Amino acid sequence: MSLFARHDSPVIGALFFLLWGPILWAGHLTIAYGGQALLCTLAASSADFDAATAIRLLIGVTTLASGLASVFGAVVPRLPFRLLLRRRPVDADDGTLIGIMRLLSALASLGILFAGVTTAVLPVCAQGR
Amino acid sequence: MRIWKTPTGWRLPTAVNNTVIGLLYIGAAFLFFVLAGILALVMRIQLAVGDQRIVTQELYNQLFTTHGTTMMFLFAVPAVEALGVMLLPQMLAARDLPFPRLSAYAIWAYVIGGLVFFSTIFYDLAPQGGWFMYPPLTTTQYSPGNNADFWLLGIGFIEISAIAGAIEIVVGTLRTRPPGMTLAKMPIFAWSMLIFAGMIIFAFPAVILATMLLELERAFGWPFFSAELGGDALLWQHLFWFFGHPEVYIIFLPAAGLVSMMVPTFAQTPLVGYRLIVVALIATGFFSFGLWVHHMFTTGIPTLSLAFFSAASMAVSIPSGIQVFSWIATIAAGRERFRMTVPSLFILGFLFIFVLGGLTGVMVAMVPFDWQVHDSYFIVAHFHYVLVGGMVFPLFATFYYWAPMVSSRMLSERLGRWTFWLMFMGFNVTFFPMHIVGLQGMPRRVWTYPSMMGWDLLNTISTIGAFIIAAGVLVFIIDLARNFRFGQVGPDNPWGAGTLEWLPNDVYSTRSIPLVRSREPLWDQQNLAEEVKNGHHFLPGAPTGGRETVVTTAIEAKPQYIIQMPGPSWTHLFAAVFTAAFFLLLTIKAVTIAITCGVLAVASCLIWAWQLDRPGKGEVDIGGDIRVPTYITGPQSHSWWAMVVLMLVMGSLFIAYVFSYLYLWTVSPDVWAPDGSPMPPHVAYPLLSAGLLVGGVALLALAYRALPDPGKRSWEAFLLLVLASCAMAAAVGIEVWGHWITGLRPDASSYAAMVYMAALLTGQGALAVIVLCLFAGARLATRQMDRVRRVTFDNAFLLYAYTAGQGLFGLLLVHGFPRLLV
Repeated sequence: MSLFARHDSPVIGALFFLLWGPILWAGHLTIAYGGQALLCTLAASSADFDAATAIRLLIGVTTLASGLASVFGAVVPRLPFRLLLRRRPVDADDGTLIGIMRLLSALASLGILFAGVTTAVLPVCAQGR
Repeated sequence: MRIWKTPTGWRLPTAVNNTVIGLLYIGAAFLFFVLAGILALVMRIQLAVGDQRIVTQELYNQLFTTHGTTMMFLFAVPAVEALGVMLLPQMLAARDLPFPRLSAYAIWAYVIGGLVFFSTIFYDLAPQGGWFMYPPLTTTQYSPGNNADFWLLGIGFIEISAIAGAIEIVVGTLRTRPPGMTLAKMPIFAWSMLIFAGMIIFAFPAVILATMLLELERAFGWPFFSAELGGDALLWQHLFWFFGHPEVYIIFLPAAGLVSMMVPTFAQTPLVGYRLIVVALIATGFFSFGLWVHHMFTTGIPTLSLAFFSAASMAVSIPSGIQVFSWIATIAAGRERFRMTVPSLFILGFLFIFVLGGLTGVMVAMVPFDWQVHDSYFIVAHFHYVLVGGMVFPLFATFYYWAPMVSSRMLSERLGRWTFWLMFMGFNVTFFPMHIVGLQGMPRRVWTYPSMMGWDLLNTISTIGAFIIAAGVLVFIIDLARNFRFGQVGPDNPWGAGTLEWLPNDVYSTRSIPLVRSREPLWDQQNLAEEVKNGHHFLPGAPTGGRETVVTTAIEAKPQYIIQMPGPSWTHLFAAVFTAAFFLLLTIKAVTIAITCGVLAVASCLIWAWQLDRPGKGEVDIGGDIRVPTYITGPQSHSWWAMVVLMLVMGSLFIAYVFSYLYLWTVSPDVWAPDGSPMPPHVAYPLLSAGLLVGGVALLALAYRALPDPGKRSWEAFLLLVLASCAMAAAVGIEVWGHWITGLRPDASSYAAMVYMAALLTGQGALAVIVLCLFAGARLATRQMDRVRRVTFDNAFLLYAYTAGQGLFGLLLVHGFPRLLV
């Protein structure tokens, strides 16, 4: 029996696989927070611009897209595994990586949903005081 | 043994072994903990009763600023980084971390810079703006003199030292694990240090940029934070807290990692929920970057933005909770009753205090509650519960647990119990009343208060508690001093732990590097200690005749090559001394001597680097019928990895700049650029600059093809390196010149300052690239670089390509936005 695994996993692929959910969460927060700031600035300089609709649309679409992608990672992790590590999972170590990725994706889905729903209940550009 | 011998006598400072410099590192961090603690005692005496006049208001401001700054920057982060330097190689059974001189440089720079910074409290030169130094309070208008500059330059410099350590830890954890220790078998402490280092790489550049901007405003009037010229003081808060909040987890995660190593030992069972703990560490690290605005809930940010960050603040409690439950489950699942030793007491104390701090953390994550308690003593109580509970208690557990590994002697159980109970009781007596006094309305950072407010009794109790903590620390110091003289010599593995640091070891770590098959190899692999001691595993000898260790692949940990590591030297020490002198002399405006020291620091680094990149010695046998090379270049090389990590640091710094540029535009789009500003330079200037950047990369690609065969020299490659350096310098020069001749001046508006800042950041990278290209040219000219031995060239090429990319993006931003948008 060989002392070591026969495969060599690509490091960047493994990194992106493990961080699938957190990367989606970070992207969602960046787009939501940055997009809202940008659109509110544009609305302040143009009376015709409907910031509320634009922001709700942007954050709604982003939440849906990143949330679904994150849930997908948690439910069907083998597909991103094959895509990013360019091989099938074979041993217990791969099982551990997949387990970590699934739980992180599930947590990230919660984070995305938690931040996304706020758009439905709060004014979009009003100052906090 | 002779190869790894630690220098003695006056040559001791040249040592680079992780066991020696790690001790210096942790010793210095503990010294700063004691010094900052003494400042806290002075503050508590001042606040013991109302209407006290023991210290002046100015001195009190200096005391809390120096206390906070020292605890956060000179104690907490360095202490955990020191534990990484000291423990990681032992846990990974590596001979040392891959860049021993870089570690030693970082440590000496920190020791020298830290001592000078702390000493400012004795000369009335300490800053007074609090540990987060908010402008406009810290601009020259409200903070004249050099006090604030000591913070800005001193702390900025110490953060560079922390980043150097982080690069070492990332490469060390991913590339110097023992054969067979896959990612899934890595000790939890290694996971936590990997995430810790990753967080430093992405968080610290934000505050480095912030300190650069504020120092530029103070020294040259570039108005980044002055509202009257289009700047915004809140930009500082965004940059500072983008670093400052992850900083809390940067401190906590390694401490949690240590707890995850100790709990299974005392329960004599594997950690329950290994995967969950890894998930919790990664999730906490990630989520912590989405929380920074929760320090700014009262600044008038749009309600919706607050909601995003409030949600993330509550979400981060989930992974923290996962860890706590996992530790409790491990204690409950133990094969035998959880052993109540001094480290276990500190762990249980940590659980109690940290959970309370976490609960108040969820309270302040709710915006309305935060508005009520913001800047009150409730917040002081909350963050001390989190930080002291989350980091100081695990640190003391660590001292007691790993002392036998460092000195082969156990610390005293009897004195340790005294230390624990004094610290535990003292801590709660000090900080619990602060919740109440905060809810009663006592604001933080007040040097005194009127007696009629009804806050006296609770403050007196807090002061008594502070002295009880001090007594606990004093008992620990006595125990430590006794340990090195009278401590009981323990066995190799006194606690019966399962991880590799408890293998028999010496200055070279273990006699041979084990093949790892599980997460607790000492529990699962019978006779491993004996086999390792007898040299039956990998690298039992020194096939290259020097300091070396095995480099393995990052995921599967297969042996890849042998790294030849440098030994003791004066160069890194001189580099650290002159770098510290450069920054500190700039603070007191001794520009000529500062620049001289800067040049000497670069010269020391060049001499240091000249001694590296030694030629390979062919393939060698490392045991187990495995032969590996002793020299490797390209993406598999550890130096390539270090350069990529450095590029990530530079990228983070530049992203922080792009955020700042866009942020100021969103705050004041009407003055971007202000009325009366000159028109931007003709488009030919940025095009020419971009052409030179791209051309420089092409020249280096040609130089790569022109590298000579081993032992030969190539003047063509030399010339191409010099030309590429000139192209880089010209690209930056043309960009600056283009703006200058339009009449735009960086002190005219925040827009102008941001325009020049892009060139300054690219220029900073360009300077490093030029030095590196010329260094590579010099090695080429002396036949020390060729198409095989080309690590220096690879590094120069990587950094050049990155800097050119950053320069192009900067040109696009400055010349294209917002002009193309509106």
